Amino acid sequence: MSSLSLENVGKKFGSTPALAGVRLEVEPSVTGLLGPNGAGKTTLLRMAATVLAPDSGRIRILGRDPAHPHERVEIRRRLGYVPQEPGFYRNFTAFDFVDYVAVLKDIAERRRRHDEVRKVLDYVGLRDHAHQRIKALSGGMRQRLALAQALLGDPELLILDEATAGLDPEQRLRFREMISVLPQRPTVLISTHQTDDVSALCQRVVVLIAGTIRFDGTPAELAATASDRVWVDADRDERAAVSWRTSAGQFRHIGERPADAQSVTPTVDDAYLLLSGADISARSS
Amino acid sequence: MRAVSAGPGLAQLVLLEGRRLALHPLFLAGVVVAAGGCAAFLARGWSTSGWTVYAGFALMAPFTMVATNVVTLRDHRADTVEQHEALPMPVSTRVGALLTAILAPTLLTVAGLGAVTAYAASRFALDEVDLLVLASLPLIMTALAALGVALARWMPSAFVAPALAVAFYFWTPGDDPSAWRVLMPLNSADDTGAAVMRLPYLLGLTLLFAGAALAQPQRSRTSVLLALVGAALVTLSAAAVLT
Ligand SMILES: Nc1ncnc2c1ncn2[C@@H]1O[C@H](COP(=O)(O)OP(=O)(O)O)[C@@H](O)[C@H]1O
Ligand SMILES: [Mg+2]
Repeated sequence: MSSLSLENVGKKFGSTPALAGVRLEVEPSVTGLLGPNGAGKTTLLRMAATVLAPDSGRIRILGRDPAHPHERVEIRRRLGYVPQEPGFYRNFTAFDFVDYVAVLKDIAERRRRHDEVRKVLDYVGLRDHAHQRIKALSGGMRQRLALAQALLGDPELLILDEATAGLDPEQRLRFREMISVLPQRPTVLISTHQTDDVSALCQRVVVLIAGTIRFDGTPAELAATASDRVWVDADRDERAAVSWRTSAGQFRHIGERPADAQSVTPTVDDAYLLLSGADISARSS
Repeated sequence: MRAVSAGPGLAQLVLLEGRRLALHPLFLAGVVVAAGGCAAFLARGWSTSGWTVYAGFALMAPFTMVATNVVTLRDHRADTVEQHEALPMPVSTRVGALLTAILAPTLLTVAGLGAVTAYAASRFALDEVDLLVLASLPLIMTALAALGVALARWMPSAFVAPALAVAFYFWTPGDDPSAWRVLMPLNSADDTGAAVMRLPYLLGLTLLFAGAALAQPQRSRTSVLLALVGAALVTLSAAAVLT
């Protein structure tokens, strides 16, 4: 059974289509949703988190229909959600805030609830800050606090909207580690616009551009879409769709490789830029 | 069909919110005001300063109204409305818990007021009107506290409740009560008839405001029933007070 299934899902805000005809089956795994700003990632994740209904098409989450009030509650019991900009009660302590969320998550019995709250705070490494007020916590700690509240009750589906944005490199490594070693192995759907998150964390990557899915496969398969289309040169090559100067001082080019250029092994980054870069040139022409 | 997460979750939330309300700085500020009123009475006797007890406890109500308003606006302020919508407990249950949690500051007030009344009655002759008016004080608190929740649900702005609290203070008649001002929640009563009718009146306001709070974003049978019973009580008792 797939954890999340979207059939021909469309959503418009005013006349702007945020999603158009999206078909997606997410199986238990860590799936990355990759796309530029405005691609529709947040819109898709809000739907997966049952807080936004599609204009057209059909969604099933954990085998249930989110449009049905009682099934929606059943989904929400099994869901963990970190929105793109998580909110906090700044005057609460970390413990009290997560405890409050735990009550809203129907973990009623007090002792079990407090055990659960301590468990998730420990997991994200906030044990020593549990009784500090949230307004005194750093940005990275708040990010982990947002993850902690999402982990309450061992969710079957974990939805993380740009959960690594704004973290420094070390914090990102810790964050990825936390996601990848979750003991209950939930289905994780994580959006990002950073390709290194995808390569490091995801078994599967879905590239969303301008509201449509442009790629769906493993990170290696994504990288392979750019094979034979990446080359390096001392000077900028005008024939490339995208090119940039690397730290080695050379130019890395992506696009239709000229016969005289030597191709190099593509990365996920190259493939993603090829996909989104192709889109930019298509739009400007 | 199973009731959606009422039961134990609701009870736990009532406890959490009740504790937060009872320890809320604005409620505690109201306690200080009431204590001031009681101190004035203790210093000068009931006949000259008994009204300060009433005024002190009555002023706790607008403080508590702003407190419940601030607490209800928490999700709005913290931008957690949608985040918490993804959790199983429906917003109506959460509002219901907040409304029920009003009992925490109210019961504390009843205890304080009871102690002061018992002391006053042991030393001075309190008449029927005095006792009825004192008995109305906890209902003033529940009415305004429920109003604080309702305002937050319908007008999610931090300015509405404080402005209304100040307005209530100035609208409450002094020596020259005009007809409609008699109905102001903070008002007192001079005769037994009016003092009796203020009890169902304030109870009606409480139910009406609670029903209104629960009706946003979605009317339910409970919200409509509460509002209708409240409106009926308010109408009948207001008519009795005004005639
Ligand atoms: N609440 C909204 N009101 C109006 N437009 C919106 C709203 N949410 C998203 N959009 C628009 O929908 C498109 C997709 O947005 P979003 O899903 O936030 O993209 P992403 O998360 O990939 O950056 C954008 O063009 C955005 O401006
Ligand atoms: Mg987004």
